[in-house]
Formats: sequence, C-alpha cells, structure tokens
Amino acid sequence: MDIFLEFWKTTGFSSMTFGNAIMIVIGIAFITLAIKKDYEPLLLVPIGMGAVVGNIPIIEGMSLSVYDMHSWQLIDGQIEYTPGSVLSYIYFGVSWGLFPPLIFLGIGAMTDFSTMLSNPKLVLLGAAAQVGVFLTFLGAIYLGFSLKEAGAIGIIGGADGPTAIFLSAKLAPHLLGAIAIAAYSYMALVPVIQPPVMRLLTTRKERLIRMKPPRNVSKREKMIFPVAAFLIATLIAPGAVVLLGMLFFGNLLKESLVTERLANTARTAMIDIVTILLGFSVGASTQAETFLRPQSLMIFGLGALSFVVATAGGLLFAKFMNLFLSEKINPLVGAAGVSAVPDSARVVQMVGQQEDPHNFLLMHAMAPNVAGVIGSAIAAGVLWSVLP
Amino acid sequence: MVDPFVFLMTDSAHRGLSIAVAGMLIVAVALTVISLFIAALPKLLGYAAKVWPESESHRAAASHHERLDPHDEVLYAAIGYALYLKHQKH
Repeated sequence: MDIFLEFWKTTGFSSMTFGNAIMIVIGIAFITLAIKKDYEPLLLVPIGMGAVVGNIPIIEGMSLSVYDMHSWQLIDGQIEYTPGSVLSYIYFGVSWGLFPPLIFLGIGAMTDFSTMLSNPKLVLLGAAAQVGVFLTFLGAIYLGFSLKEAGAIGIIGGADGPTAIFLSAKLAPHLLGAIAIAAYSYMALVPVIQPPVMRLLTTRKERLIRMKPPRNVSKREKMIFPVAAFLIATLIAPGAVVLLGMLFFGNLLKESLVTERLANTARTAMIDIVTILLGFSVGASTQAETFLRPQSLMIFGLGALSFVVATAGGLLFAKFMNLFLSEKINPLVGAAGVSAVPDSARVVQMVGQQEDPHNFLLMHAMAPNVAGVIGSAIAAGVLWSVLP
Repeated sequence: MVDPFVFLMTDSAHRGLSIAVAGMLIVAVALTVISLFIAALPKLLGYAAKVWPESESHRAAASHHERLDPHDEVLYAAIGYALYLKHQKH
C-alpha cells in the first residue's frame, strides 16, 4: 500500500494545481480553435499542445521543464555541469532570439514585393499602422510596467509574432510567454477583431472604391529592392539589422533566380521546422505559475487594444491620403498595414467583397501588409536600441 | 490606477512619450524613404538600361532548368509527344 501511496505522490494528479488545469484547458481550446475554426492552425496547434505539455506537474528533482536550464556550479573547488531539460534546449532558440530571424528568412523567401513596388504610396499605410505599437507602449507605461516591459508589450501592436518574441526575449524575457501567446492569439483572431473596426471607420461609398490593377514589375526592380530597402531601413534604424537582414536575405534568395534551391528550403522545410520548435516551446513556457498572473491579463487587454489602434491607424491614414490623391485608395486597404501576413490582407478582401463581390482588393492589400512587416521590424529595432 | 494628469508628470511618462514620438517618426521616415526609392526606381533603371540593357543572365537561365522537377519533365515529355502526334497527322 505504501508503494502505491508513494507512486500517487509522483503522479501529475496529486500535484496538479488549479492553474495547471486552467492552462491545459486553454491549450485544448487553442487546438480546438485551430481545428474547428481554422484560426492560424500552423501556430495554434503547436502552441496549444505545448501549453498542455508544459502544464503537466513536474516530479521534484527531475529536469523536465523549459525553465530547467543547464548550469555550471563550483562545488568544493570543482566545476560541476548539470544538464538542462530537453525542452530547455529547444526553448534556447526562443530565449536567445534565434528562431524569429530564421522565420523572417523564410517569410522573405516566400514574400512577393511586386504589389508594393507597383504602388509605393501604399508603403505609408504600413508605417501608419505602427501607431498601434507606440500607443500600446504608452498604455503599458500608464499601467505600471517598466519602460523595457512596455516596449516588449507594445510590439504586440505590430501584429507580428516573431518580432514580438524577438523583442520580448531581449527586453522582458519574464513576460515572453504571455506576450507570445497574446501576439499569436490576436493574429489568429484578425478575422474577428478587424472587420468591426473597418466597418465603423469607413462609409459604404469608401468601401466600394475600386483601385487600378498593379503594374508589371521588372526582374531588376525585384532584385535591387531587397538590398536597397535593407540599406535604407537599417542605416536609419540599425537595431532592425537582424530581422530585416534575414527578411531581405530570404527575399534576395527568391528574386535573384540563381538560388532557387536555397529559397525553396527557406520557405518550406526550414520555416516549418522552426515554426514547430518555436510554437511548441513557447506553448510549453506557459506554466501556470509563470503565466497566470494579473500582468498577463493586462498584456492580453493591451494586446487587443493595440490591434484595434493599429487597424484604425492604417484606415484613417488611408482616408487622410485620399484628401490629396486623384486616384483614391480604398481605405480598407489601410487595415492591412498591421502586418499579420497574409491574414489581414485576406480580411480586407473579404470585407471589400461583402460590399462589391467584383472588387478584388487582395493584391492591393498585400502592399501595406508587407510594408507592415518592415515597419514593425523597424519599430522593434528602435525600441531595442533606445531601451538597452 | 494612476490619475492621468499625475501620470503625465512622471519621468517614465516623459521618457515614454519622447520614445513613442521619436519611434513613430523613425518608422515613418524609414518607410517614406523606401517608398520614394521605389517610386524613383523605374526611372533610375530606365537610365541604367540605356547603358546596360537588361538581359537574362546565363546563371538565371540555367537556374530555370534547375527548377524543373520530375513532374515538369513528364509534362514536357507529354507536350512533346502531343506535338509529335500532331505533326504525324499532317
């Protein structure tokens, strides 16, 4: 009987806390949302399963959690090495900011900048939407977060998961789990969050505006763009060198036409492997004792607000631009400036087609969408460099 | 919850505001310069094309063949066979 009692003490049932149970339910909810509603399944399934795995109570003395890092200790004049858990080695790629630049490499290798090159004024909408980052930054300071924590929380408004993880790993590693979950959850909820804001801030007449089809872009333009844009962006904001370097390197692999194999690997196998490792380890880092805090609730609130503000920023700036343009922009396109590629562009297409089924805005929306990726990486670089 | 007026008097609010304004300006300037560069690029390339006419490089052409996967080869074989049959009929 004693053996059974001893065994019972080692089981997850005996040491399961209410918080662990809640986090397991949240993990299962993520998996369900991904499967049933098709909300960002490539991210929510690994994160959800990671949350389930990370919240199984750990047997004392066993190195199993993502936080059981390897260590060197000086004991009796001798250096002793204690290995970390397997999950901690995978999480190393998150905590040291290795995975986000690799994801940017893959994104670069799959991104076609043609629509942005054909209509450069739409780039400005990607800049306008970054207002979400900086207003959320101020909101977080108001709620009592330190400047560094506020910087990491603010970047949720960039609607770019890898950028949010990268910056929070640098500025506020203790908030990484909550920020990553908030960023990816809201990215998955773009089709729910954005449409009401889009309808509220535009008239039917504006939503019906048709835009000229994009012009053909030459191969030379596509080849020159990644190098030139990288130089411009990083000479202005050197803090963005890692993310933008990888993004534009990936794009150069695609557009140079001589490294098709490398581009193909970057946009398929490599990005998939990194996404699996990143999603799963971020999920596993959401242990109840580190995740279920009032701070996390505030981060979720600020995250939702930042998405709304960023969407409104892009929309309102498109309306402002229309005051001076002879060829009007459909203001819905401004909502795609929040980056979340390509979901927000798809939402623009969906909302536009609800008014006019023959209006195709997807191509136009991709321009501010990819500009938003560049803009959020620059914003992250700025915050990282001024908040060292 | 801090009173908004009291909050605006704090050092962190001052620092935060200046970072937010500067950050927004830097993002806007960077993307505006990129936008201007993109707008000028076709003209710049137009001038450059007069000096160096655009042609597909040897490597780029070669890479097109590298990109053919077995399915492409099957497709080309099928097209070739169809053309051959067509010529046979004539």
